[in-house]
Amino acid sequence: MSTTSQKHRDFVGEPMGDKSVMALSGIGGILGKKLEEQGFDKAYVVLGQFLLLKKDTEMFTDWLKDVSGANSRQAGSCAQCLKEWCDAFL
Amino acid sequence: MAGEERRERGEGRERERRERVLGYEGMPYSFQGGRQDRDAKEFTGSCTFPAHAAPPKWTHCSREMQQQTEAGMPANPATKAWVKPGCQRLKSDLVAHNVKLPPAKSKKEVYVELHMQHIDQKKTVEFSSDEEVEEDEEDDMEGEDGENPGDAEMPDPSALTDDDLKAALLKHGVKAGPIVASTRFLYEKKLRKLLQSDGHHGQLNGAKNGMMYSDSEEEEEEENGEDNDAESSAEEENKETVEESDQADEESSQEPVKDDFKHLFPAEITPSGIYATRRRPIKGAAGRPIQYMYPDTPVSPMTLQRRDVERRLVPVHIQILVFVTVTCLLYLIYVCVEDNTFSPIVSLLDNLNPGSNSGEALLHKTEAQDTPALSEWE
Repeated sequence: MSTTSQKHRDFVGEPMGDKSVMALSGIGGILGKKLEEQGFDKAYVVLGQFLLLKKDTEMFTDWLKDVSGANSRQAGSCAQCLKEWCDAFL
Repeated sequence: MAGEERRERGEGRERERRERVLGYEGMPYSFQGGRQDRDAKEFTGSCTFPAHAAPPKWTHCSREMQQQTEAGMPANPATKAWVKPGCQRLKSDLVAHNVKLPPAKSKKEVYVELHMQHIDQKKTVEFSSDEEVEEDEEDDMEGEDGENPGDAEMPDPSALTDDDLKAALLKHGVKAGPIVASTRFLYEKKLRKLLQSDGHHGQLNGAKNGMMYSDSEEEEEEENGEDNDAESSAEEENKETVEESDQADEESSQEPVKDDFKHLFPAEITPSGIYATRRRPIKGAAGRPIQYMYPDTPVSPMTLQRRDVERRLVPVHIQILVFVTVTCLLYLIYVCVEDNTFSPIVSLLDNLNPGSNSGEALLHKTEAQDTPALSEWE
């Protein structure tokens, strides 16, 4: 978590607008497809879930692991990136 | 609408329960049935749809429900197909237990009633192997709900209403956010985990209090080691503490794994009510020598190197002591030197300076005196 990926910086650097769920850090093609199948097609839908959980990173990570089968690193990365986005733009 | 649905769900649940009593787990619908049962439970509890991980699955579920409610439960073809073999089984069961069969055209309910009356009563009296199997199945089903028979006073999170769930979470110090379809499942899980961890701790403490074996002391020492480790990892001077903290680390690293295991198999209870727990390590207990050590937890080579170095070094307090003594000595020497040697030199220098000044002044005087004399001579 000390270093952030390019994807993370890209996402946190600007409003998410209409970005797809795959723009989230930690969500690649496979996880993205799984999430889209479940209705989470846009990044802001995932953000909605994150906000519903009161920005609780731990619970969000659990949820993401449940829903998409992400591993801890991917889910943690996604949670971190959403958290930082919220800190910057909310 | 919601009330109707709920009632029907309740009926489905009742039927499900009866089926379970009869042991129809191997049927092709059993999985679906189990799920419906679960859904029904949650549904009766809360009036909101349960969120099984995700909206689409969930919508799928709800579509299923809608279909069933539209068709009405009894008219559902799936249920019809489901009832038939059930009747067959019931009949054969009843025959096997020497019960008079009702008229051929009677409904399944009648069979079930009869079955409950005769066979279940018998079971309470006679102790057959069949019963054990069925009880196990029951236990398993209860285990799926994450509820052990041992702690029956615990409310099943999935049966709580939204408000109750929120209150229960608050009781455990968790400020729950909005409990809606997509978050309810998570909060249920969290509450279940909290309840389980509470129960787990209580059980552990009880075991500790109950057993006054010599190895409890060992464990306390290990815990102390862990505490030390938590407070300052730099103070691992001698080998023993290092070992102990390693063990402690290992234990703590095993903790979540154990929890996961518990989570997977929440009903670790045998029909006889005995808790199945992990075997305690007997290493070093009752004065036995430690024959082998557990392999160290994986640490980075840098840490290993540091530990090696630390092992060879002199303990820190001795280092500090030596440092302080040396400093004191140096200061004393400095003070002595300042008093005895330097001050005479300084005073000597002070004495010298006025002397040289007066000498210069004398020289100037003589020069001054010389020049007028010379000018006079000229």
